[in-house]
Amino acid sequence: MEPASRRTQTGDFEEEAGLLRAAQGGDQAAFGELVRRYQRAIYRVAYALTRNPSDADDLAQETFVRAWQAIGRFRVGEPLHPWLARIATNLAFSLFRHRKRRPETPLEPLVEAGQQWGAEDDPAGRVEEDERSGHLQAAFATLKPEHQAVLALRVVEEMSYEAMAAALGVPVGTVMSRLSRARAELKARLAERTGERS
Amino acid sequence: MNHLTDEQLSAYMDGAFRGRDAEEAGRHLAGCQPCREALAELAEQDAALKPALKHDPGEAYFESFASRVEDRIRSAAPSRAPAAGFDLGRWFRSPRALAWAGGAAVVVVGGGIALMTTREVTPPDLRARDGMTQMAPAAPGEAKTEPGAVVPPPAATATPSMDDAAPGAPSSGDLTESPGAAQEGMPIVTSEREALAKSRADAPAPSPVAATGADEVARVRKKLAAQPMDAAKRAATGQALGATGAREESAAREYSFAQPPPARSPSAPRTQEAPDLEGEARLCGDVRDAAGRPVAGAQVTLTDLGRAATTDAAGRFCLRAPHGEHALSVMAVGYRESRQVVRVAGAEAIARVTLAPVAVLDPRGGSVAGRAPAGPPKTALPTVPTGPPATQVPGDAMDQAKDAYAPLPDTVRGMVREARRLEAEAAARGSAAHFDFAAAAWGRVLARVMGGPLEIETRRHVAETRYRAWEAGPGSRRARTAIEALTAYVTRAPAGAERDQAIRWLDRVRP
Repeated sequence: MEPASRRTQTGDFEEEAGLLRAAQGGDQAAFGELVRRYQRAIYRVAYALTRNPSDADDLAQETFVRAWQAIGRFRVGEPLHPWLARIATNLAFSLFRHRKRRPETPLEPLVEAGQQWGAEDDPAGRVEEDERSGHLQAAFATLKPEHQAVLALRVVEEMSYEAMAAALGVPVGTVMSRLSRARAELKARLAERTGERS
Repeated sequence: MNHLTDEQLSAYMDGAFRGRDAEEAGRHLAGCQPCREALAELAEQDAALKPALKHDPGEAYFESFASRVEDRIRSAAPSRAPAAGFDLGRWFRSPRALAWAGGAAVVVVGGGIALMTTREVTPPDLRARDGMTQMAPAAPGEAKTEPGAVVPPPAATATPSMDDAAPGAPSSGDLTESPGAAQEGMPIVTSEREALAKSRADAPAPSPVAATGADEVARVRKKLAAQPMDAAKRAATGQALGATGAREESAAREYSFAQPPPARSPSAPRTQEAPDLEGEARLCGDVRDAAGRPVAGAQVTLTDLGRAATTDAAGRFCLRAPHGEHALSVMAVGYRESRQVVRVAGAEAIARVTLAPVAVLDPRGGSVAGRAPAGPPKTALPTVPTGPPATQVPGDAMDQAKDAYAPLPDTVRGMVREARRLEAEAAARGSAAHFDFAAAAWGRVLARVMGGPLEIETRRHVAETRYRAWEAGPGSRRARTAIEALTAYVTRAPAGAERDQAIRWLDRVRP
């Protein structure tokens, strides 16, 4: 359905349904395979919502723990990606609620120092990009959690509105209006930070 | 004609308009410069936002991700798993239970003369404790026997409630297991992480039986803490292995029976054994504390071979090893792990190991207030008279690497200790699944040190444990993960013996 989901799914739908049924029957190897299929997608969501590798790691892992615990309730035939994304975003919302500090605050300087490391790392030409990314990240972090979530799912995961509706537990119309408001809000916050008029 | 609204532009950009709506919006845009600009601006913002919200933790991270999830599921709430998954009773029905019976028989036959036993052979009196720990399943990483670790105080696992965390989940009460009070106000994910650490330090006892027998459990744990072979931990780890466990246990049994420790005489370490296998020699030695007292019950492991022994009351051990250099790890409760490279040559080699106590006051190593050594009789050690002494090849490199983790935050150092402990245990058991565990633990460390000075060293650990897992239990998945981890290490590591070794391993794993 959505590109992100296609990217993570290597087998066909039937195969995934088989894995899901097996996992529901308690087959942990099958569940492990599902984890491997969706780990990157869920990490992307987790990172977008926390902007911190350490939190993202925890959030992504916890998402699958919760998924395992609730796998019996999953309706085989529905897309798995939005379901997992919903767990991840709900966990992130809980994190926002429980954390006094904003999630962009790194937990440990060490982790923060390693944050820019990655396979896509390209030290050359990072500086300019970093500055812009920094502003965007900071502006994004000031958005309401539901605005962050809808933007993350759309921009990072390229989810369809239907999938986002499933992931966020709201109607498609709400996704449409929320996403639009989130984009406008981000633009305004970014303008505040960079001193531009919106 | 009215301009398109923000919402319409946003939806149009996302391709969410269908049919007539899309056509109308398209027609308007074709003739409206301001709307096109607004649309371009939106698209540009999205394009810029995407990289700002993305981060690639690297292949190594995802390599171990699934096993870490598995690990966490077990640690978090084994009782929540579906019926057939993570069956706590599985271990007791597994071939391992049978292997144990065989192992006990070996003890009976060889008990009269055996000084050292491999870890696979458990004294029968621990059997009852296995039963005890069945009631109180311990997390795989129970810290009671963690060498070089300051044992944290027992703490209940706190899994903060997340009512809406899992859509379609039965209920929040069903989902969240909170033996202890949920830590309100704590960062939720952080507290999860801490809860995991705590659950390792002192595994929760969800069963009412165990809860009522808490004192008994504590008493047994105390005993076990003094035991070199922590039956509870073995049981828990055995359980935790789950589906793959049974297969690996078979492998472990094979190891222990196919390569039984040579019978050793206390008075004459050079026994009249069958001739040595070609190129193999005995490596014997003694383990002492800083004051020169023998350390009993220390786990001595040739980590490269997966062979292990436990020191006797006089702190002595013997192992069989091929000629050449080997990594010798010695661990004992209350002491820091010692790692050194020993060279085995001739018919018999001797290694002397001195263990430094764990610093309990200042975990960063400022103070050295070691815990009391496990009370061995302070008998004078007969010296091992012959054979060329085992040459100590720069063990410093390893020690420095070990200490290199010292400046890290407590949470990371705890992960390092855990990883080392799992690795040593895996080496001792020669079990592929345990190496998987250890590799996952190193993967966790890696996720925390990436980009830092310890990344390469940690990658080396991930690569080695992945390789060992493949070596102990070859399979396509293990081969793949080993190749990935080794490649990740080799491509980053500086030239040197460790890198060369990794390249050799890589050649071996590659089909």
